[in-house]
Amino acid sequence: MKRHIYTLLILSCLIVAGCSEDFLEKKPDKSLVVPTTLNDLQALLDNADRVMNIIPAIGMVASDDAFTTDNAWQGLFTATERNSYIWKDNIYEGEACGDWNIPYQQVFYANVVLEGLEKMEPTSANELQWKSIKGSALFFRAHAFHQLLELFSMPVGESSTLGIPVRLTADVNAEVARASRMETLNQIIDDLTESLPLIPMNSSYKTRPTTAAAKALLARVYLIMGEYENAESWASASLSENNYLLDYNTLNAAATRPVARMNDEILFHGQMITYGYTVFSTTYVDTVLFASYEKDDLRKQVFFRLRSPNRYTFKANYTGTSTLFGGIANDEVYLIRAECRARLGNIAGALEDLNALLEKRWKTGAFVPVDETDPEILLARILDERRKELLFRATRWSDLKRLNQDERFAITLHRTLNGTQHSLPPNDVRYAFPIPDQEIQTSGIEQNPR
Amino acid sequence: MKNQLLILLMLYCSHDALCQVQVSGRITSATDSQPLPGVNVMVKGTTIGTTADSDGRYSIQAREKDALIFSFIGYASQEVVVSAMTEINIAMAEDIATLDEVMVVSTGYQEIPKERATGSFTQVDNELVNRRISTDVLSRLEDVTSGLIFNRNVEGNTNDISIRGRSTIFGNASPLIVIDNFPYDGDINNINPNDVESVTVLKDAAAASIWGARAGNGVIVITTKKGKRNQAPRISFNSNITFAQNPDVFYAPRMTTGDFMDVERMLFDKGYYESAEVSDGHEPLTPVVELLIAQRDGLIETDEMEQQLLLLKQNDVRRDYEKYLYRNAVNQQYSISIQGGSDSHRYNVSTGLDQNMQNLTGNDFSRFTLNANNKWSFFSDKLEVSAGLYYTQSKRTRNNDGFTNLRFNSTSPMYPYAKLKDDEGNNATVIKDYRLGFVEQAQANGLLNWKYSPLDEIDFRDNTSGLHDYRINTRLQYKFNKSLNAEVLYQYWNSTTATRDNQRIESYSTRDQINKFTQADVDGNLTYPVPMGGILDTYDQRSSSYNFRGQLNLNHAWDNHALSALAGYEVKELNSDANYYRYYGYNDELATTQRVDYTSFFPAYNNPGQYISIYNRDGISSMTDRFISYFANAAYTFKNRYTLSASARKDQSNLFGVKANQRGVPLWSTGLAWTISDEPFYKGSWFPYLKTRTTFGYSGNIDKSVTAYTTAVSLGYNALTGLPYSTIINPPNPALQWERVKIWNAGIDFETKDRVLSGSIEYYTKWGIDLIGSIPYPPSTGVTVFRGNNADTKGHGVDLVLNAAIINRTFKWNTNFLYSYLTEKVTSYKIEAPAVKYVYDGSGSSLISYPLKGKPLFAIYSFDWAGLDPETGNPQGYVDGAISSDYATIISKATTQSIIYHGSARPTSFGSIRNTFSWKNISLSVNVSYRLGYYFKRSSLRYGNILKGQVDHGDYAKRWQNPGDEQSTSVPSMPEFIDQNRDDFYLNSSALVEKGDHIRLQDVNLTYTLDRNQFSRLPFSRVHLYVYANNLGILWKATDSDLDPDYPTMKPVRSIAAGVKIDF
Repeated sequence: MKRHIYTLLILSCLIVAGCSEDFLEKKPDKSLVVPTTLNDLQALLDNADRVMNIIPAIGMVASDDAFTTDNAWQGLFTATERNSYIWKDNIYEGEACGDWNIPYQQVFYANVVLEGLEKMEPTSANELQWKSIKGSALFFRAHAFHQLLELFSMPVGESSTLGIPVRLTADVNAEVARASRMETLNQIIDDLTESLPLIPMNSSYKTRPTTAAAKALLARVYLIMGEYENAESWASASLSENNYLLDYNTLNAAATRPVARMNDEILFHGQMITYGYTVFSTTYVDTVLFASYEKDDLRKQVFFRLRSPNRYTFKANYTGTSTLFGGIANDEVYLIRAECRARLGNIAGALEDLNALLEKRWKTGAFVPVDETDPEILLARILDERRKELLFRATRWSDLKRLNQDERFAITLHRTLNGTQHSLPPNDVRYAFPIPDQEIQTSGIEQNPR
Repeated sequence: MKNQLLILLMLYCSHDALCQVQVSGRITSATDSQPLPGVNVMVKGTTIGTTADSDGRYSIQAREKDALIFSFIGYASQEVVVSAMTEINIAMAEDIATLDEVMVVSTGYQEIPKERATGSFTQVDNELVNRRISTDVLSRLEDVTSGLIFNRNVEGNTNDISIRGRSTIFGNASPLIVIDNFPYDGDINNINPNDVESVTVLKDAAAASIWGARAGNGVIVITTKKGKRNQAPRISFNSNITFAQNPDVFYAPRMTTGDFMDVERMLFDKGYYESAEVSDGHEPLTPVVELLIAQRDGLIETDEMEQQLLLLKQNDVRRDYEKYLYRNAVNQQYSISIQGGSDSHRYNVSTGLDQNMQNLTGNDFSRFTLNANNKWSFFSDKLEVSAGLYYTQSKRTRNNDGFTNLRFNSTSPMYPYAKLKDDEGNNATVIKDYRLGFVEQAQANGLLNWKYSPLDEIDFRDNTSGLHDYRINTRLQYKFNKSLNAEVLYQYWNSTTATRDNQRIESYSTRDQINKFTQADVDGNLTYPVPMGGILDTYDQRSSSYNFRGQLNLNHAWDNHALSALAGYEVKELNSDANYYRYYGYNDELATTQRVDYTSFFPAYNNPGQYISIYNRDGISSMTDRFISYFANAAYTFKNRYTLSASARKDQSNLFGVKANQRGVPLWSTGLAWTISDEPFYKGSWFPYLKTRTTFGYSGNIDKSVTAYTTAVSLGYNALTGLPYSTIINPPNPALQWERVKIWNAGIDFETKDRVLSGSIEYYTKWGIDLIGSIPYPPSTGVTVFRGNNADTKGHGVDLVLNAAIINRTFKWNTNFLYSYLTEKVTSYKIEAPAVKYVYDGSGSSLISYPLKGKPLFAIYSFDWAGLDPETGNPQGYVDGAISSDYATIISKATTQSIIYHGSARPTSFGSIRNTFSWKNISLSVNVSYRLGYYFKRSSLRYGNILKGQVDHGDYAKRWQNPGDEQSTSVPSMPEFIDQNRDDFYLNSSALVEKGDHIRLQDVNLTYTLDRNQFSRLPFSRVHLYVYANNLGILWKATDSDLDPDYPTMKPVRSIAAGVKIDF
């Protein structure tokens, strides 16, 4: 008996010791993954509506597309939007800033994916997917850097102008200081150029990048840099792959949301962070801007909804919902090319692009093609049309910064709130939002002057 | 002189030597005639003593007429006078009374005689366990267990227990609960308290470290009732009924109906409701606003409106809550047990039934338990086999979610003049989610009735969950010889809970879903993406665990030495699977369901501009916890006076993404005990029993939420794209380690003569090392919060237990006094958060706190308060020392120096005084508890809510209205616009911080006992009749506020119970 028990004891000891390694390898929660397969990595990039396809919105809050009432301003959700609206020195009052945090989350995801890819050699069977994921990650990273740069850096292209921390590693402990604006731009261009041969031409999902979207983003970046030849050629490259425009004559202008989500004009789906200001029915379209639409311009009906006398809200979000669209669509690419061509003296080309767009926006038969030949006047007209086409998107803030460099187009913004006048002159330091409080407190990177 | 002395000495010695005898003999147990090693043999009145060896033999020098005292734990002491006989054999009888008393403590691995214990144990014996009447076990430990406290500052968590404070920040903070040798993985509420024999709480490292990495929060060891050897069958029946008061729905202050209606009129005049009137989603408007609109639009006359408003003003929805949502709770409890044993078999079988009719109408709970355990001895006790089965079945009905879930819409509570019954006594409808006109129009257009009747909802809902839980225990013990035995234990546990929430088509939530998705074409034809029929949610949880333990025990005593040691290993696996399904178009008669399209987006009927997709609630989860542990424990006792103990344990677990060598953590402890009163030199006649002990060691804790690798969690399919997607929950953390708790404990146990006064006092210091903490991280890294080993804490405290038999005659008066003091602070935390985070979240009630170095883990901070502005009634604070009303600056410029630290958010001193008076057969026990040295933040009103037309806090009536009011109130004036910063400042200012200190009359127990010895005609051997009253009220509190500091939102209900316990 004694012997049997000893044997049993020893045997069970051995069994336990022998299998303990495997025994403890079991995942505590089946839904947990250390992302190691291509599908794991793709799933991270497909986290569309929480991370990867989210676009900052404080630029829209601070720009001149819209205004709100004193009462509604008080009721806005966050101090961040209240203060952004009047370009205050102190914006966040300790609040977390998704406009900074989410793009950096995108950068983090992209870096995790890129580092994950390095650890696996593509095989002939999965090479296409491997490349597509790598290209997508590069695109997302470039796109996030671009969004950040537009909000948190001044537009002047001197070598000393501060850009943003250009984080190229997933290691959260790596210390990264702010790069210069030029270095940031170069990184964006490098990432996009590297991504081009990797990403697919087409995707069934507008949330995933395509070559046309990457080329359009390159055009956007070169436009900001004032490199019009490059911008023009990338816009052409994008349009040669996809130049579809919605014909507004086919839309139901009376609908609450006349434009469908994921429509064919969209190259890359992006939706803005939701602030009270971006969704409230008390955020009205700038009255001067509204007045600039002519009677037969379908956008006047498609875009706007009358709320109270002379108070219109914007309803034609390319998201199909109340969330504002912040992605890339073909109308913007047409306008980039038209502007570049006008600036480069290609009047015919510019007119061709402008008319191609407007034709789809005007009532059939009522549209008279633009035939302006004076480059100055034409450029101004194109910029006007840009304003009228791309309102309530993420581009206006960036356009203000860019066009303020040029005395012809520089403007001072004004707001009146509770009887107080606020104004933002061209090239004011407040065009670069302050770096959020938590970033300054924890990483100690250089703050923007206010 | 020298010579004389020498002669005297010689004379003395020789005289002494003449009468000396060598007494020897053998000591056996009276029950089984087996030798008893380790029995103490003392010559009465001297310090001469010895211990019986492993064969029970002893030998001692004594003089004739001396008395020898034989004593041993668990046996009745015997006194024998030495005569000419030199051999005295003794049969010691088991002393059941002493055994049942606090003499043996159980760790779940072994039972230790308390005399030899070095660690800190608190035992709650059977009488104390039964003092309180409750459905659950844990609440019976409150205010009778030294060092244990129920934390009340975290809302909605009823079983949040701390033993000697908190030793973790984000890890599991619950003590480990052990039932019959193994950790219990189920819900502790499944255990019937009538089956509990006793509870031992293990508080320090030496006591708890045998449980290793899960003992950091202390261990609660529950022992169920067992049969005893050679015991005639004992049948016992217990039954009681508890009545609990209807809860006080008026307790949390709320604006009066009239005040709220005035605010609505004011907002209406300012045009506040205009946007809601034309809103896309047809936002709901209250009856008052509808009346104001009707009057404005000329649909009704002003007189009529005023008349209607006057009628509404008389309503208070809380009266209806009290009448129709709540009732007096009635809990019934029955249990019957039989236990006994022969020489080779011991058994205990019991069964219990609980039927609770809860305070919320429509909510019930019932529980049935069956407990059977057997123990057999074979081969003259060489082999012992035990088997136990514990089965629980319970059913919970939850059709009433209470008034906090009875809302106007997702953001606003119900308007205060709502009526749940109309004047005829029928269930009334109230406005919810949509405007009345829209709802009526929709119904006219062919949609389902879209109105909401809160009381009908309770009837239309069928939400039940049923639980089956069973545990099977087996134990095999083989004794190789007197000293050495081996045992193998195995436990299998299985628990399934099936929740079924049938929301019939009549219920609002189902009608709302169907209507929202209803699509109308141009001709008004309707289609229903959410099909006609009920919605059935099912949630099934299956958990099972197995535990296996192999253990060798050594108990050896020789001469003056006794060694008790054990070593073994343990394997454990716990699996929990759950799945959630939602069935649309459910027909309960036929059990049929219909398919829906989860992927398409449909314009919402109430807001065609909004595209919604049908909620797919289906989900599945699967978790596995695995442990492998090795442990050893030894205690060596010399002369029954000195005990040295040591234990070591290594735990390994399947922590995810951790390198293999970091999966395990070795933990150890050591301790020393010294019974001073047994020393020859001890002369302290005040304390015939005096023992000191000290221990030092480590226990641990696990936070499975962090891992060393980048970890993502799959979120299923994205609503936007339908693609599988996942999110990163954990950035890589290669330096991750287990949390450890280091404890040093020192204690003194004492007894005065005749145990008039007995008790213990203990002092401990506790260090939390490498605690997992969250620190704010640079968001540019991609994470805003980083969880890692970021914190260390240090705390120390005192636990005092005093038991006094103040009067001990026919009338008895016993007092039990418990006092615990503890203070703990964070000694290091990697990063300091912005000061406002401490002000808002420092109390830990939201569980997202960032602890501040040098302060307790949970503390109350506030903005300094400079009173109300006498001109405007604005709240005022300070910026750089100057009075200011610039709230944005006050908040953003706050530093950890400028904010006020009040103190701990949890009691730093607590305990109870329990007085028991008994006279003949009547016994009265009164327990008064106290909580001292802490603070809480009182709630008040947020104008941001009021200016959005939401009913808010009753402090509104005390608001500043005219200059001079600032003398008598600290409630700010109503601002013209919503100013969130102003609200945030006021609600977190020191004006609202109150001391939490209070003394409470917790409960009273009155028992009348009838015994057959006294009443020979009694058909039973003993009958106890008892009455118990709980939550009797606060006797004293430091704050002037009407609030109970421990229950800021809902007062605990008073209850009274009556019962009978019969021993046949």
